[in-house]
Amino acid sequence: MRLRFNTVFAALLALAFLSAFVLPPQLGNRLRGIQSIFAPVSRPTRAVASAARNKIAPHRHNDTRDATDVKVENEQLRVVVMSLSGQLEELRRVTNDLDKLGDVRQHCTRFKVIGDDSGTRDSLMLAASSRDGVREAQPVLTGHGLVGMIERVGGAGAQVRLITDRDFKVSGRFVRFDPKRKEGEQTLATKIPLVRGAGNGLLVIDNIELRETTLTDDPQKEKVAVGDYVKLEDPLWPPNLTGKLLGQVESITQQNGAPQHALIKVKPLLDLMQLREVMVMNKLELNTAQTASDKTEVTR
Amino acid sequence: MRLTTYLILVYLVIGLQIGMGDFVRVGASGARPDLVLLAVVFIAINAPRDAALLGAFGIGLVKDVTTLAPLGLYAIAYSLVGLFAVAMQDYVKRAHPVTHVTLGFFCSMVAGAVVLIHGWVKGPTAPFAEVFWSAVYTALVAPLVLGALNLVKGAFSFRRRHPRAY
Repeated sequence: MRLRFNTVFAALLALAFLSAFVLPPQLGNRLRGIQSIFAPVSRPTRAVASAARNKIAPHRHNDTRDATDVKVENEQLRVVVMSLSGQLEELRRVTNDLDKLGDVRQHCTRFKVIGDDSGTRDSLMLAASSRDGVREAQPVLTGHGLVGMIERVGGAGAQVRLITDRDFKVSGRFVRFDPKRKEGEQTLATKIPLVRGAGNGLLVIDNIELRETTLTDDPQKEKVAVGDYVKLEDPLWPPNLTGKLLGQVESITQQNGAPQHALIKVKPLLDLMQLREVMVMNKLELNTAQTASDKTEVTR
Repeated sequence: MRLTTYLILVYLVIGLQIGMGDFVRVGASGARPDLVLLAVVFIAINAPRDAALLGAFGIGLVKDVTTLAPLGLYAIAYSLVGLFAVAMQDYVKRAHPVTHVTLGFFCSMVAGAVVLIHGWVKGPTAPFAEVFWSAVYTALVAPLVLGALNLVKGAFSFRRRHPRAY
């Protein structure tokens, strides 16, 4: 009897080893769409934990600007927003393509977050299923920018790979908020930043040379500085997501292994692992959905 | 071991882990306690060998459903934890807080080692600091979690282990 149990257990371990180390990870996805069954426990736990966290360690802003400066900037922003709204209306009337794209919201459905990753990865579990029209590789958003993409979905749950997950890659561009400009922002002329998830709620960019950052004092062009924003600019993603915010530059340091290159840490504006609701872009046309799907294959 | 109680434990502990996971992160490394692993330790130091190993494998498999890691990774990790903790059954005082802290740390490191090796082999690499500090964090909360589980130990009907027949 003992020998028989040992054989069965060894066979189970061998199967698990094959699945984890040898077979493609997508193979087990069909068995894994049951995250929603944990919602009766995880959702109230999340609410309680979130309330407790906000009380014990409330989110602090690192904005040290004077209140008067903020008020002045708000006024300038109002003018910019009014100007941009007018321009947008005009462009919508003139450009058919833009009319087709419309607002991203009309392609999205709101879903509740029931929990986050129980392991060491950056992911969220949604109370969404394939019956809601959610499919793999669909983009996931909030009002503050891109959150990630649907990694797998089943009959009772969906899992989102966050942009901060260590297996997430995307290209972007640096922008600097500038209320004096007509467009309200300035795109910095740098090499295309390749943005990678770094885990623990952070993104990193390591293909930008030091001379393109404020770590050097070459005055020839605008350089990437702490506080600049990183936006999505990736041809493999649906075009109406171009310009969605990925995060804000938190720190710039010299890379250990490559002294000519900078290590830029980028932090999303919100703690993505603590979101309560997200928007899934599940009403895409087929061709755009395929583009996002291709992207998943490339990043893998 | 009573199957229903085991399934309720798995359901509760996985639900708690995915519900509070990120809100209990601390430090720059993003360490967080692994409540699921503590449930594995609890089963493994109390249940008979076969039930403990199957139980550990089962919890790992359910955890695999709720993480981005490939299916089977935590099943292996927790099975190894199970093997380690089962081997310790005769040498430790099961209800002692020092046992809980020690097993919490070493078992977390065993599971973390599997995750690290998987990262090196298949990518993406898991940061060692996160694994290490999560092990420390898990060890610190172990007396509380395992102490609470010990209070309801009777519901599991763990049978006394018999000496091996061979």
